[in-house]
Amino acid sequence: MTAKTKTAEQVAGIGVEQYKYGFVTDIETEKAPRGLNEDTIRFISAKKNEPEWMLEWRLDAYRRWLTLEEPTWAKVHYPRIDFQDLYYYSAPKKKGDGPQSLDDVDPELLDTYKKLGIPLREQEILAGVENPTMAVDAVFDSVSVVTTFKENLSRAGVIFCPISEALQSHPELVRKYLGTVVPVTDNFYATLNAAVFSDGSFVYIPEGVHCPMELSTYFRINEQNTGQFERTLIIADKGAYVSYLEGCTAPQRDENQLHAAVVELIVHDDAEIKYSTVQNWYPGDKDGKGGIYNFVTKRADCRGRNSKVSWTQVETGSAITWKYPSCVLRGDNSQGEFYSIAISNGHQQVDSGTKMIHLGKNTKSRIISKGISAGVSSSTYRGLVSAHRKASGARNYTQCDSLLIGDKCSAHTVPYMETRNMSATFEHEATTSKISDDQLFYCRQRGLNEEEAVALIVNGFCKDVLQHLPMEFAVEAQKLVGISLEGSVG
Amino acid sequence: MTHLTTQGNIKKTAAEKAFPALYDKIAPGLPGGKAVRRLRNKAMEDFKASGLPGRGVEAWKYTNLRQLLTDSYPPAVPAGGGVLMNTDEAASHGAFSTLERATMVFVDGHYRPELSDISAIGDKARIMTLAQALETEDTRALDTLVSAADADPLINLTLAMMRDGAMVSIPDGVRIKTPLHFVHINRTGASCANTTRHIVHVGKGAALKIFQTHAGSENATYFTNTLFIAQIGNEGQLTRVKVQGDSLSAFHFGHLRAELGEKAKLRDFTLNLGGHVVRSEVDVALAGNAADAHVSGAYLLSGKQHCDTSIMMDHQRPGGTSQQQFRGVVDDGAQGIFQGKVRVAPDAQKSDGRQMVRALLLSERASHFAKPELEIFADDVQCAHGATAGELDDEALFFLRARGIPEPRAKALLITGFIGEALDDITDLDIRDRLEELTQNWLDRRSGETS
Repeated sequence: MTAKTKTAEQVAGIGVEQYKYGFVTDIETEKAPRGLNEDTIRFISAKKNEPEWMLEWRLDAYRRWLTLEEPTWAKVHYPRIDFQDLYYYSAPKKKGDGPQSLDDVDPELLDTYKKLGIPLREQEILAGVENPTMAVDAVFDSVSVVTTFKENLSRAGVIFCPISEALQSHPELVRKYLGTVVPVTDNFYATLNAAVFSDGSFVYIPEGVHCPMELSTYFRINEQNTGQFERTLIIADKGAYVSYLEGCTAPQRDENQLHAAVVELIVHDDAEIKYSTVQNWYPGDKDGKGGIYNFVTKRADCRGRNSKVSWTQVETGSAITWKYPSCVLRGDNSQGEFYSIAISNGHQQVDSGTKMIHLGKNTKSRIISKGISAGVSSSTYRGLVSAHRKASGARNYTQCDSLLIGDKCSAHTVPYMETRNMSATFEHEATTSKISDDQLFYCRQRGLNEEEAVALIVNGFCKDVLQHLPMEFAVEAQKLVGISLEGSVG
Repeated sequence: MTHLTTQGNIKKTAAEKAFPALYDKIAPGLPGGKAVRRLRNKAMEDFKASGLPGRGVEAWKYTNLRQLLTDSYPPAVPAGGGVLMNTDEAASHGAFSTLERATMVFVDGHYRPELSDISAIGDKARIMTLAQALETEDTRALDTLVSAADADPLINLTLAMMRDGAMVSIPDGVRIKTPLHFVHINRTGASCANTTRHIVHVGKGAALKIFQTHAGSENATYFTNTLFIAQIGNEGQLTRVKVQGDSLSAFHFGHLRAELGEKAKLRDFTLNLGGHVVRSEVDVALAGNAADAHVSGAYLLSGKQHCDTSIMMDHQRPGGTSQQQFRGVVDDGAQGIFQGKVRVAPDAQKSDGRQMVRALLLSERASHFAKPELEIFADDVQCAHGATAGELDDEALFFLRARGIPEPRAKALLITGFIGEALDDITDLDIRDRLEELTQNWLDRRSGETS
């Protein structure tokens, strides 16, 4: 079979049916008028009953955004986005005062999450049993519909709630930290997010508290033509620990949808945040039609001594991913880690990586990135490691490997290493290759079919990253790796 | 590197205004007829449109010429006097003066036949100067100039302002043993520019070795801009060893652009020692099947030197192999930069691209920036790169000191070993010895300053 027809078949094999989260929930919604202007922002702010300073903050961001230009440096191609053709706010219509507990939540919504494998109610029921392991904040389009286990958490002093609620209940905390890691002026999409963000999670772990369960947010885009702009703010006070998980899906639609989120992590002395993402937004169909534009700004500020942040991401969805979870290692001895698997298939384009900014003494960072490209997709690792003048003893190890499956895909590596301190030691390694015929042959000989063999080899390739995911996610991620590559070998 | 974007409507800097003004003044005196003039005019128009590369231009990310280059430099007037002073002679021919070779000497950017000697190569090759080629509108020269047109502002400046250079053509099957040495000397010491372009054509199965050295009066501020265009035919081989020892106040822009035919070979080594602001660029197009290129180099920097090495290795056809091996030693407040890219085109299956850059920082104020890049569009490839930065290994130092070796000597040994890794591609031991001597001199000077 010629390479050309083979590839054509491979691509054809990437069926849409493979994206099992592509359904639409039929639910009545309330939207802001289409388009973006100061009134849209006032509308969102009023909906959320926000304090005056918050509205001013948003308007400031909006005015700044008007002066910015869309970045074009990433290795991704897409038609210009018409920002006036989007809905910036869409929420399931509330009955009365909005849900106080799960019983008040629209059953249609609960069903949606059940289908997605996020059994909100079952979890609630199980709550009677001792030691629940995970609390979930479910975000549907622009709003958070429900947060489970709030009670259990508040007994430990942990605040876990939608950020819109935090603005009501803990405005002083939000005001103190919001925008201090990703400033309003940061970049085009972050600025847009600051102007129009509608919801997201807020987490505060008080001093010395080891969060009793995993926290999780599940993002779902449902409505047509909407952008989702969520904002997550997590603060770990001195000596605190939290593990936070994030999952995302969206329905199958022919047009592209925008998701521009901002995540800010603040880590004080001796505290640790572990942030894991399984991103499985709708990637578009076999011709590259539709799918989510995932333009996300994520950054952690290790402010305290001995603080630690670990980003783990499994990126399998989205038509376009533009995402660089970063660590500012400000406190002495602070540590940043980045473990990433980015799988692109079909027409997906991924430009992702991290930034490790070493400012404090003896700061350490570690980057393990595994990119897998199949079909006609392209995958780019773009990363910065920098040591500033005062970052004596800084240490970085970076490894980024790319695996190519099929001869129409591409893989790129664009690392930047900036050393301004002689005692900083940086090491970077990268390789690009395909699955070797020997490996495949070995597996096939032992009775695995080609697809199983590829999944096995790829899982081995990703092992260094998978083992850093929390157990529940690791299993799911492993399956996802297999599913995402379905049809990529022929 | 061609990916330049015009930088919108930014205000022109003094240098950006000065170059076109200077061009208008000197253009009538530059060699070449109407066809050449048209090329020059076009290049200058392009330069005016793009301006100098600034912060917004990715290929020049760490070398902001809008800030670093503040003025234009008028071309040097041909210097009188037939004989160079002895000191000049020794400095300019650098470490290669004792080796058997043919020479082409360019003083302030002008070819000086009375100082040159190409008899060792004799009639085996076709050699003329670029000035001659331009005056006679040599078709090969013109074709090469047209095909090398580029959006890069520095290349446009060489095209607009070029005055002289070497035109060398080695016929098919001719393998020349004696190296040909391009000697560049800045002699006036005044603020002047010398712009040269060399065009070297190596025929099928032919071979040539080239030394390229740059030197100038100490502390003179001048501007050197050289483009070296090499075309290597099928199974041909070109070796170039370049030693850049310009004045520590000079601007040096040196660019090698090589195109390799089937199974052609390129071996290139650059040692950067001099210059205040240096950009050392090598673009290799592996345009024939199974072409093979090794590009390596070392930079030894001190004071306030700024040295940017940018490599582009473009695997266009299947089966190509490439290697990049660079070592940087950065002392005082100097800045070392390495940008290297391996690109594998969609059809270039079975390509093998390797790249390694290691930097050693010797001072609290030194900095190093590395951007080793891979851009892969084919799946059946083996590509790898590595990059490291750090200080001298304490344990290695301790090991040597424990054996009674004094600290400066121990450090020098470690640094020599470190640089040595980049010299491994140089199989000619005589040449390797000379290069080691040069690094040793640099180290001696350095320890002389510190002790």
